[in-house]
Amino acid sequence: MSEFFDRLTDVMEKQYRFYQPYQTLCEMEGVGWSDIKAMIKLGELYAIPTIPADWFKRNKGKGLFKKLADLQQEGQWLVSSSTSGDSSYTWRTTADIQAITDSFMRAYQRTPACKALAFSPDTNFLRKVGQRFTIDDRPVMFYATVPSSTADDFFVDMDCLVRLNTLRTVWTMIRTRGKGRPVLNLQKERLIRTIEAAEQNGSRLVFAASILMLYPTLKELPQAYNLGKNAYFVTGAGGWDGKKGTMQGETIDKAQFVADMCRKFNIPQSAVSTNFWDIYGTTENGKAQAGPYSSEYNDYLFEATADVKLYVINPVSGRPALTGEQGFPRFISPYGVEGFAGACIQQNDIVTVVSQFDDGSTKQFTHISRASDGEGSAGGVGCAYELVEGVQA
Amino acid sequence: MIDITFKDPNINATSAFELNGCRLTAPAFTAAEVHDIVDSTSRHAEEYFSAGHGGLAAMEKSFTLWNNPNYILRQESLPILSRITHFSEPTIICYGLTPLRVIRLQPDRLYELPERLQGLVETGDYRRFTAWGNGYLKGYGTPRLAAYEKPKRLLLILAGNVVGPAWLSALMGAVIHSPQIIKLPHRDLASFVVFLESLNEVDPAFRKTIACGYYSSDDAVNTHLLKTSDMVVAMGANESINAIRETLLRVNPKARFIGHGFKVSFQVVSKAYATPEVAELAAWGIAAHDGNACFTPANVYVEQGGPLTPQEFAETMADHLELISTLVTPKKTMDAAERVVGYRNRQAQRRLLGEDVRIIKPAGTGYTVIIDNQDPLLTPTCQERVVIVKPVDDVRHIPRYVKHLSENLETVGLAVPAGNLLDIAEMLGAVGATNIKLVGTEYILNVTDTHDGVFNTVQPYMSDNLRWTSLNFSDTDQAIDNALKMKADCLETVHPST
Repeated sequence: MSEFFDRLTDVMEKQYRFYQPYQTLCEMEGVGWSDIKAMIKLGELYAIPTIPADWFKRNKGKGLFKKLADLQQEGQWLVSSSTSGDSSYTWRTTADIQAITDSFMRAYQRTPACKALAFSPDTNFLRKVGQRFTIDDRPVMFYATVPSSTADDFFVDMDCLVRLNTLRTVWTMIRTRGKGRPVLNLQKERLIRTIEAAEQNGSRLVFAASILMLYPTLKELPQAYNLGKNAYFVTGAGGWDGKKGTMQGETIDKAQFVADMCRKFNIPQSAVSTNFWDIYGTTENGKAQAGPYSSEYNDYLFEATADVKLYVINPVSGRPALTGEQGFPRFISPYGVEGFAGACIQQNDIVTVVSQFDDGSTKQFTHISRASDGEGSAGGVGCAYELVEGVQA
Repeated sequence: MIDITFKDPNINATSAFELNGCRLTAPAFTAAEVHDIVDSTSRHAEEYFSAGHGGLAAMEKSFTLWNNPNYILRQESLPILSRITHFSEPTIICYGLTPLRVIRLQPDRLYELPERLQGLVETGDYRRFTAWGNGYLKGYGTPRLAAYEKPKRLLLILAGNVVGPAWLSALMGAVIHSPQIIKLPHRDLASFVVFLESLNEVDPAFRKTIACGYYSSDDAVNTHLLKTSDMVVAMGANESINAIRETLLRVNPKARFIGHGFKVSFQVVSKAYATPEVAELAAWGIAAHDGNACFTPANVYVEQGGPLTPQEFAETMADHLELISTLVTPKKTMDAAERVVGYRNRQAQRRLLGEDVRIIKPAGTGYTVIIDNQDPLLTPTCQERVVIVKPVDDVRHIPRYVKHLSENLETVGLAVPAGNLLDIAEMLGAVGATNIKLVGTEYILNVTDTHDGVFNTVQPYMSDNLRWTSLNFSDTDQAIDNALKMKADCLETVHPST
């Protein structure tokens, strides 16, 4: 861990001295570089001024993301899938992308390296779509490309079921004069064939990627299969609330999902905590926190990875949340942040602490939900008016 | 889990709700029973009021009881109300109950209100601030007097954002001698009902003139009640108010409707009053109902050039908010804290983008003071104990900073020299402010105050097409002394000899 702290000191010094907005933020908190150094030395990492993840969003951040990037370094913009309708942009060097890759590799290693069926487009497709965009003539890559290419490397045979319908895409582009979206199809027959083969061979099969496509598709399969303990599920990147990028679906009850899949594939109850995994990671923090399903919590139980110190900050007290309390996850890590001011990021999510390390940081957490911020629509409590963006003359 | 059951003398059915660790069984309007409920309430009201009784005495007695710390119902209810509403007990006592103690329900004044207002209209005196209680009153707009028959059925739809002030709603039926059907808000099914419990102890016959329970707005009960009421008064979100108005227009276009939707309030401190005492009062007013009431101020305009600079004024306010938060603890809920964090982040972001904004805050979300040297426009906050202090060169410029929200303006906490009071009140009234009070007393409601520019107890009889603006003090120094005493009094009730 000493390497972590030494490296964090170096990274934080750069973050403080190089990124003017971060220095201003520290000044607002009454914190100078010597204070940050002392916080690291004393292990009080939760007290280091933290950048809200929303500041990396294009609209909400009002362009701050460019000021939080070290564009002198070679790299590319990593862009999120826009779960909230407002994509995040972080500038990443090759080393940063390798750190994200490593993090996802460690997450995938919790499941067997076997054949995988991914409910997503393949890495090449994601890469090509990203290449269509630039920001100030600088290259762009979709964040989803990193976990996807890592999965290609990890799983023995990664079969991406979402394919481009070339004919319909061309027609759409002609019709919309290039403004339409690519038309994608899910390869249902291929899915069924692969499941049947796994059932017959008694081989392991991982169902992966977007829960919004995975769940309705598998639930609606006309028959049940006897994959038993050989069926694994590795979901990630949210979508449980029915929203992911431009996709809209129903809110998904996790316990119901697990129960339905167990029924559909004859998975014994004893295998639930080993065969169902979800990954919590965001474009801003780039750390893949994997968690198995826990029947006790009726939710996934995520574990902070070794490359971060995670503090869940209880907003009511402003202190790190204790076991059982809720708060905003604050990720502190010197890895994967060579290209941007991302060493201390607070996500705009709410999680519940399940257990802590001796230093008070969070070890396990669950129940992830989006935090409310009173934005988006005319609002209020009772007849009291509340802040609305744009209520100005 | 605490089990609580409330009953209503006119309602048999109940619905069970689980709210913040309480299993609450509350009276419920059902389609099968709603006719009988309305009939029963009307019959009880007829019997009670025709015998020459009025409910005002019962309400006043009840307010007195609630301000007695030894009152059993208060002792039993406060922890439950705190649990259900999340407001701390000291908050409910200081800002909800104590103000009721100073209210005098003088029947003569209340019954005379329509006549007095009519007089102001007929003589043309409404055009200027004329003496009204301890202050002044002025009407804006073009008058058009209309008289109405007393409503036979009154429907009140309550908002659930604060505990205490809503109790004054029951005044309407008591003044006009009408049966009242009251819809409880989903987010607070308890506080109005416990008040009715005390009315039942004091005057059970008056209590029976009221049927109070819950129903869903998309229920057939809603349509039935809107269809059969002569007058509907609703408080709450704009969307709810608009939905009720639309339904009423469809099913009962002759019914009279008063809707009290989203409002925003603010404070104005002239340079002469940029003092530590006024900063103390300003902080006290902002902490009221944790900023959740329409009358709690969200912005404080402080004129430059006084004993305290606007920055110093803001810092002094923050010190007082710190102290207040230890004596009258703010609510500690995640959703409130989340909104405060989001709001703070947006303000910090403004600073990072080069705007002249400063944030004073403790580690948690107990209170937040923003000093905004950049943008003088009135901006609602995220509520809770959050205030944004805006320095101004001249308080006379303030109307131009608030007029973009003129449809939503309500209370202004004011501290300007007595000699300038009417001039400033005139400017604020002209842009839409309806209740001008001394800074830090915004939470003290009076029965002769207007509610968003109208008098609820007069509306059943008469409308005048005016928006009234009241100024409830005339001597600023005297009012400051009284307000500081009131604040000390409130604190004494929760922390004796603080």
